[in-house]
Amino acid sequence: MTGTLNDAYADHLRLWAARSTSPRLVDALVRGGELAEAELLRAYLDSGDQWVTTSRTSGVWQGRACWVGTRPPVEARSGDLWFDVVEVASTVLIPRPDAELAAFSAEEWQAMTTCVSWLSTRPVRRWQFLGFASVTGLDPGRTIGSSAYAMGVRGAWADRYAGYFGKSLPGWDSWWGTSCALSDEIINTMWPADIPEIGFRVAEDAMALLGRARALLTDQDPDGPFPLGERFAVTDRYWLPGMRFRTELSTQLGLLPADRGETGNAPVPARP
Amino acid sequence: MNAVIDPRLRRSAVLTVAERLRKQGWSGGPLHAVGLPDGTKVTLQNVLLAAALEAGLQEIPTLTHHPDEPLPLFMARDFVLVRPIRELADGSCVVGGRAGEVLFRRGRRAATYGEAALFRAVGQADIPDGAPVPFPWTAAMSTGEKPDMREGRK
Repeated sequence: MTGTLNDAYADHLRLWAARSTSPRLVDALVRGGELAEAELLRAYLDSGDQWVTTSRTSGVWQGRACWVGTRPPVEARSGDLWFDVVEVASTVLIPRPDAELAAFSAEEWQAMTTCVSWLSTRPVRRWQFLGFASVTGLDPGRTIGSSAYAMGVRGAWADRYAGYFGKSLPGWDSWWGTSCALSDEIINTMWPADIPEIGFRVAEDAMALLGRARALLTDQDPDGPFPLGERFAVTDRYWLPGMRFRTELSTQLGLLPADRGETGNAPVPARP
Repeated sequence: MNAVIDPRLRRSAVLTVAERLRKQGWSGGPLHAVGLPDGTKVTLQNVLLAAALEAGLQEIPTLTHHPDEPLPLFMARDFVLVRPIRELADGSCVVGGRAGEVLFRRGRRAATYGEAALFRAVGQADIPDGAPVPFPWTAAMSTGEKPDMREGRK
């Protein structure tokens, strides 16, 4: 069953790269228990880019305005959802905390956005990472384990996964915004256990490791450093057992173009 | 408390890359560096440079960028500021601390090669809070003014 979903997702990505779509993935998602993703992807296949209201299959996100499309909506309010039909992942628009906006200078109001990012509502699933690995020729071996989520990958792999979709890995800024804007019920669903997540790159060879308690601190000084912790990073050549990761789309940067040059990253699938 | 990277892991990463360079020679694109008005060059790829030196390479292809040169978007996501940079009354810049005005807030994504070099440099764990930024940074580099980069001039 899982293999079927992995393969269907890999086909979906290959077809996207060829500017086509894969209805087979909807059936595989249903069989794999991913009912919300199946429902939203079917809506896209039936009617293209559109606003919908999420149904009960979306759990704590039920009743929210959700843009279903290949790119984020031109206009949205904080807390709105964007179902990225390429990555097959729901994201939520995270506003910057009031304390941060109040500290902005005039120049920052020009350079920064009032929202931080479209943050994925859940970590990357195992079937997503394996499908991506299949398309890009990555060999994760046995390190990824059998959890429903992609766990135990290298930081560089997580970074490549996000880059493939033109996205980034989130950092403390997105989680601060999340903790200030969303209810405890939703936060506990998004990040239910104290399992560290792989965050954005903090050095040439290191990724941030985000701990839940520290990342979700609400009382932060916008003029100070991030709540880094004692150790935030390891070289990205090492496994990160037991850690999950998720993607985000920075509202400051938008969808990133493919890096087809020096780093050898796989190209972003075509987004019409 | 500052965050740190285990130096043994970093040393191991340098040795791994150095071994590859010894076997295969230099491959891929050039080393990216930023040319400062005083003639100093700051690399964006310290591990790669250290590995090249470790491997004994005599020549390293280098591409030197003006500090104000826009950073490609696909690179911007890799240069996020984790500690604020403040500008003091005398125009000098420091890492963190409480004095002066915030010039670059934490979470800022670099927009230019100069900012990329600066943001990466101040992320180093061994720079204490309130210390000067690791290389001379002038307001001209953050306002779009183009300093004269010809040799011997500032």
